[in-house]
Amino acid sequence: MIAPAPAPAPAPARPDLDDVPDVTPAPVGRNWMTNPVVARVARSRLYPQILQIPVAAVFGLVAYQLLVGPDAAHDNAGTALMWVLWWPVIPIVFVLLGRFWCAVCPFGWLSDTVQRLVGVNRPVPAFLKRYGIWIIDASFLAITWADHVWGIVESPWGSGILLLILTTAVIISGAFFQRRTFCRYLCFLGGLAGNYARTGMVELRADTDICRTCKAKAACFNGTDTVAACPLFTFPRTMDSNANCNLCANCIKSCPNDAIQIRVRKPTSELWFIRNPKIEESFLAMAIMGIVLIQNLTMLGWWNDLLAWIARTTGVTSYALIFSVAFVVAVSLPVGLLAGASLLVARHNLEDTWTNFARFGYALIPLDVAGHIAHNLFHLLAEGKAVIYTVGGLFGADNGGGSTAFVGTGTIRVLQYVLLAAGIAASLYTARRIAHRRYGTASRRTATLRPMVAVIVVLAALNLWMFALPMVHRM
Amino acid sequence: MRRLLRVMPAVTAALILAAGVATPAALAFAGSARAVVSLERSTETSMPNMPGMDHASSSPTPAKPETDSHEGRPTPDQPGMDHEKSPMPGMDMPGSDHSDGAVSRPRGLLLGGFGALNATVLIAAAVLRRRTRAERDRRRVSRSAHTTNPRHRDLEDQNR
Repeated sequence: MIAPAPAPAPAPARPDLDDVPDVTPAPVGRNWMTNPVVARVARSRLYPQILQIPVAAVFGLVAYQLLVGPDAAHDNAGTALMWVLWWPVIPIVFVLLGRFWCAVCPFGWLSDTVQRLVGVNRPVPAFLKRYGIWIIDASFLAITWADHVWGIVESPWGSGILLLILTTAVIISGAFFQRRTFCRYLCFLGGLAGNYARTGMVELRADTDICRTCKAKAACFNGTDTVAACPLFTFPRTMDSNANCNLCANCIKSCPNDAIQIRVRKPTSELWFIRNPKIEESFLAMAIMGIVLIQNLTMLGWWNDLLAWIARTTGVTSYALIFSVAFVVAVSLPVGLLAGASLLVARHNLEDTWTNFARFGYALIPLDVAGHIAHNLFHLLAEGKAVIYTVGGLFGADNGGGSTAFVGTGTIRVLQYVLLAAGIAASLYTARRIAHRRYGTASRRTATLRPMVAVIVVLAALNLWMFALPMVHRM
Repeated sequence: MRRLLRVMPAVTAALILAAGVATPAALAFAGSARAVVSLERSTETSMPNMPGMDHASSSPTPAKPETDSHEGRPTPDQPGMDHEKSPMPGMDMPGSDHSDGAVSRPRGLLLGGFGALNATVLIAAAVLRRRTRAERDRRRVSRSAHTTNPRHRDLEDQNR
């Protein structure tokens, strides 16, 4: 009798290659700490204090001008320095040098000083650690809303009150909590800086091979007898993001092994290697996009036509009400678009809607940055000489009837479009890198990428359209 | 990407040069020519109330009436051009109460309140710090006394 042939064994199920995401670290760039000048500056006890002094002096002048200077914004040096110079320049600094501003920020210096004098040094409350970025998101939106409804930028008095409120928050934080709790968990500009710094070309990182042999009990994090601890609660050994590093160089000074490096990298490259995407950070990126949209919208001549039309047809004359509706729509638009795309994508890839939202929100950051800088470029280049005139006016200088513009509108417009083009290209490329890093299979990559590219294209088109329309000055 | 990065500065410089040399009309690719003219007007005639920034005499007045970029309506009353935030009667615009005249502000109240609030915070923190430090010192002293006292040490040895 012939035994029946055994049935062929079922082929072993091939594991899905995409079940485990690619977590290879980002490539390491050139270390600037090998440059003796950079190394000497970073290790100097004078850095960054020597820069804090002039910044704090200018801050004092700004606060004084805002609170007791001329009531008209266009005569006030504080308004010009704050909203025509500092505010437009600050996102450029974030892109070039990450959160370097936070190292020289007068609020940071104030927090440190208060802490030294009377600080209780309580640990950061758990709710701040958990919801800090959401608080930052909410406060950023609230400040933007308040600016439009109460005219903070147009009013030196309003700007002065904003400064006093922030100062009080910094003093409370410095008096009761450890290190720079306010800067890390509550500062709206810190949140913005954290997001934008990811696109920057400079990063501070530890050489983990050296750290593995370290016996200094995390001196880079805890500080030493002579060097303060990391103000932003970041442990260099595990740090993989610029979001919470202000380049204060405390870790460089306290590391006994010279393990800390300052490296250059490709712009936006950090966004390609995000290991733990956070939904609140993606939401902030979307909210910033919404804020850029509403800022552009309200600067269009067309906006006033719209207000007049609404007043005529509905009888609603409350600017606060109309703006609030427009604000909610503008902020909801990018959030809704990304959420919709994520919902669509979740049907075709391995992650749920919110994970997709969190992962691909970072792809919009380059477009955010570009739109923000392009918008502010108008203030900086078309109104920039107001800074010279108003500050010169404090010393009795007569500006002789010059224009406030540094360059012609044609140049501004070209620069805006170049920036937007770079932002769009970087966003598309980032989305591609994120999708390719997460998924190995071509079908999943394509299915994931298509809706995300559509979102970027829609938001880019909206920005391009708005920048093509005539804008009016706010000051 | 690397090639793009290499080419970008050259393209940018060329575009800026072109913009500086060319007329706004040549940049119409960025929007309608009308929009560029209108934007230029907004830049050149802004901030008339700033010292030395009254361009009424120097601003290029268009020979023919300017038209809005979308609807073809005249735009001499383009809002925002003259820093009047609310050209619409009845609209409660922010900052519409700004005027060049002196406005009475409750500066004393604001600065006094700011000073008082922050002084309270600083004093409260100082008291808390003193109390916390004193408590910590007391605890440390009692702990060291506890371990150095021979009776306590004997008790600890017995417990072990």
